[in-house]
Amino acid sequence: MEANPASLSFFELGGLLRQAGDLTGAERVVAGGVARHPGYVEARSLYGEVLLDRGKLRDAFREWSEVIETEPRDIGARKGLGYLFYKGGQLEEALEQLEMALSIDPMDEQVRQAYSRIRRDLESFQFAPQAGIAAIPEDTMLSDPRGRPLTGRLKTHGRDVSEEVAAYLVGVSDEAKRTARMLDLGEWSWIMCEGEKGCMHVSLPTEDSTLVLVGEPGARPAELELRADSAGRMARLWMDDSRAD
Amino acid sequence: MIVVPINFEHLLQRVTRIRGVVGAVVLDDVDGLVVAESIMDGVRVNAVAALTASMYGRISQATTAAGQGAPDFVQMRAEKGVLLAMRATEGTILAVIGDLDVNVGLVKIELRRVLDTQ
Repeated sequence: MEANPASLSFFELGGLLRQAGDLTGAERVVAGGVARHPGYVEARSLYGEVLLDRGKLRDAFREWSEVIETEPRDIGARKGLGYLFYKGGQLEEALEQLEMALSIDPMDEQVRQAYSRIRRDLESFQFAPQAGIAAIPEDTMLSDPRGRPLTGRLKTHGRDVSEEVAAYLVGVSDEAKRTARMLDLGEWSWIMCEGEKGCMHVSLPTEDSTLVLVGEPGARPAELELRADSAGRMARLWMDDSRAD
Repeated sequence: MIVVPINFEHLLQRVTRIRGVVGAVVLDDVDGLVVAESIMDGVRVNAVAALTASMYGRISQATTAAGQGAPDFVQMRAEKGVLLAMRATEGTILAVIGDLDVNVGLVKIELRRVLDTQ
């Protein structure tokens, strides 16, 4: 790259820097490369991923949108756009992108799982207005600051453990708040726990509620995070509905 | 009680080399006492260890109640950074403080590598 800045090897170098966790370096290298080679679609798709890693969601969205204008069958850009729509709560648009991705590679397991999950979320969400209250997805529970379950349910071996978990979550939330402040990390936003028997995601969708999701053994933490995003939106709706009632 | 001998200094060196890691401490999981540390100036390491042990304990209660047992790995995400707590050996926890860009996967890999070579 130093000897020949116009070289196409920026793509490989950018990917390696990203894998090594040097996101700033990856952004610099890939941004420079795509500026010289705007027609290199695969590199622009990678640039979108780097921008997403860096938390520059709007820039990533713009990049991937431009990629699919040139190459509608770029699966990376379709997956990226699907994720961004999902993050933004635009579930139907997310599904549309994932449908396109599946039409390109029907065997992509990651896309298949995300597609099924969003479909289920969308069905729950669409049910909400008829029921008069937002629906909380399965394996998910919303509890109050006094350790009482509000909605949703957690079960283990057929036994309802919602009350027990809700009670312990109060201590988790208090301890997380103290720890984050002591470390000068600001307010905590979520906690992810992983173990051999499954994973758990805890977050605060509103000031007066705690949301917990559990994933089965083998569930990917990233998938649980996506579910938590979606469930958080529904939890906020649920809290709004409850207050209105 | 700590029953597995391990070179914690080596572990801390490897982990704190990862980009985005601000500091790390190995602590006793019961009382939160510091076993080894490599932490940035200005951070009260004893308090970090005690709070991490306490938080890990609370989380373990919740995950156990949910039928999952104690976790091997906990990540707390906050506005300005992350705290990672992971089982290092029987009786010890490795706590890592990082910025928002820290590569969590690499921290896990380093821990596994060090444990595998002991």
